[in-house]
Amino acid sequence: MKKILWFVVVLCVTGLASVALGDTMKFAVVYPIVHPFFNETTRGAQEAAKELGVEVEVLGPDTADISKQVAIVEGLIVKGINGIGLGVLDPTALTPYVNTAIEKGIPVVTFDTDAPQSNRLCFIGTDNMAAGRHAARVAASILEKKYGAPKGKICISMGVPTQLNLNQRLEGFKEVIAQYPDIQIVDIQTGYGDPEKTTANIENMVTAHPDMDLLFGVDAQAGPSAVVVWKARGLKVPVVTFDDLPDIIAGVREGIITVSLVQRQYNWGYLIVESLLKAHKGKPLPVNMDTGTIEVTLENVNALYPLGQ
Amino acid sequence: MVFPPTSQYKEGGMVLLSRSEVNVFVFFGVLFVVLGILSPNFLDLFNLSNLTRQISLYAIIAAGETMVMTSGGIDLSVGSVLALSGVLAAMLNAMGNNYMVISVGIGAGILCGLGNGFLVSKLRINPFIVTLGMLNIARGVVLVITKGFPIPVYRGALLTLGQGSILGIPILFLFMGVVGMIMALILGRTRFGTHLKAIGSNEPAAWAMGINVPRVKLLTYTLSGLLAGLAGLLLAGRLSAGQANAGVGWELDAIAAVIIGGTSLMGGEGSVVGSLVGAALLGVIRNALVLFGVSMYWQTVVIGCILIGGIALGSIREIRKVGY
Repeated sequence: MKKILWFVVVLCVTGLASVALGDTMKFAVVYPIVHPFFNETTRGAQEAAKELGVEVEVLGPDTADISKQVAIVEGLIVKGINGIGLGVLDPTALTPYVNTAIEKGIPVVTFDTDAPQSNRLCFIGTDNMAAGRHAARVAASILEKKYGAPKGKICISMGVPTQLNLNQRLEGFKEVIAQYPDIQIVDIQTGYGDPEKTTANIENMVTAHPDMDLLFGVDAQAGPSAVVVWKARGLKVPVVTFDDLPDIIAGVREGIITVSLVQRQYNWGYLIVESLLKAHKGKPLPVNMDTGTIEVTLENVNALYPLGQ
Repeated sequence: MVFPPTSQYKEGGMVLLSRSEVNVFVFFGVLFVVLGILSPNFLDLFNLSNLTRQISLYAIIAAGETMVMTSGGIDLSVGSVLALSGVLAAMLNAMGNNYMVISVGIGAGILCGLGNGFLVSKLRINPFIVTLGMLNIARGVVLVITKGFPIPVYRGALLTLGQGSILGIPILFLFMGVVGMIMALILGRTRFGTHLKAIGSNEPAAWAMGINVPRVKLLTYTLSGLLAGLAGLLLAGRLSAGQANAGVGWELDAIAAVIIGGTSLMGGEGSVVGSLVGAALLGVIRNALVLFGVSMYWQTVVIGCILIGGIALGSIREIRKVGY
């Protein structure tokens, strides 16, 4: 009996030691929610990990539930992970946990959504105010091409209205549109990210505003839903959306989505791993890394997203 | 204290309509007329056809939920089961066999419902817990299968069912009509329906009367799963994709529709037709809020108020009738 006990103790100690002294670092990427949008982030992180000789694990709550994300971060701290890349679901709720990790010597960088008040080392992602302004300039130039001058009526399909990045995009969009006296935002509806609710809202906006000149989709669900409605009604009204889910890219190919602004999720994953490793080596990190947005249109879609992939 | 089943006074009725759902009919009728007068777009043919599509899937789920709630239970898993069925149907659709698509979609719903029913009736686990578990299991399986990716539907019967129409009437709406009629007949006209109400109002008494309680419950949850499965594959057709995040929170919409429709939260009394109108009421309100340009932030408040208001109307009538 005693022998077995000793055996167990030795096993535990060596186990712990191998975790503590093990030469391969283990980083975690924590998503705000499990969503295909982040698959490219995973790919970026994994490729960086392979190149730089570290391990990376990817986690995230299955619903947009703040307490679930908190539990994941707590678990990682207890486990003694070597670094965390965190897509913050709620800045206020997550800030104390980010700070605890930093105090325990675990470097934390945020990506996609930030916790600016926390002690995180840096934020990697899209400056969403800038992305919203970008979308507004795109919308204005589409309207200008149509009428010869920037004017017309815009409807907006919004996502979850408490999500910081979406609110920033909306703010940035409104800010730039306000500079064009002849462009009006006539309606803003939210589908809360639900596919059916978003589709129903867009259908209803089309009915309520037959004179709509452009639809702007703020979240990743707006694009796919707009494509369904546009096809059903045979609409030709231009659509500006965000992100590059397969059905959004298909919508661009079919000429329904005029422009989709795409974030650089792959770069996020790569930069997370690279930054965490730099932090361990004591190298300084920039506070903000804006990875920007690129315009996907009918002209460049086949070059950016080759068919059959 | 045991109250006598309130469904007694229905027995002699000629129609499928009973008193408990009169409120929702009146409320719906008034709202429809008022909206028609106030908004020129509301009665627009295209809006009406959109509206019927927006309502149908909630209504089909609500029909199944009505059966479960009449038996005194609850089914929280319908939204997740719907997503599972939609995703499976969309995946199989790529292979091109329509029969397989439809039978696997509905079959997935039936399996989940059977699981719920077995645990509730044979192991006597509280239905709230069982279906909450199933809510997570089905959603989890969807995420495992899809990794969160939408599965596109390009062609086939699924698209026709979800987006097509016959003589200008959306096929989705026809499905809702047929499902509603069958469920209303089952609940109102069959021995099974009577047993359901008996179990809902007093389970020990129902058992003592010789009703096979476990079997009735098993069938009820299976029926609810079947309808969630059907709604799931129809939704995949409507959205041209099996979406992993479809149906999140729909169980609450379904329960709201059922209660507005006059089904008792305590069981024992239920109306499928009332639930359909309840679902329609929710859809019409959402539609109207957009047509009237109500701010998106206020819409949720308005929906909550109308829910409570609708129930309160019924409650006031009940108080007047009973006298306290």
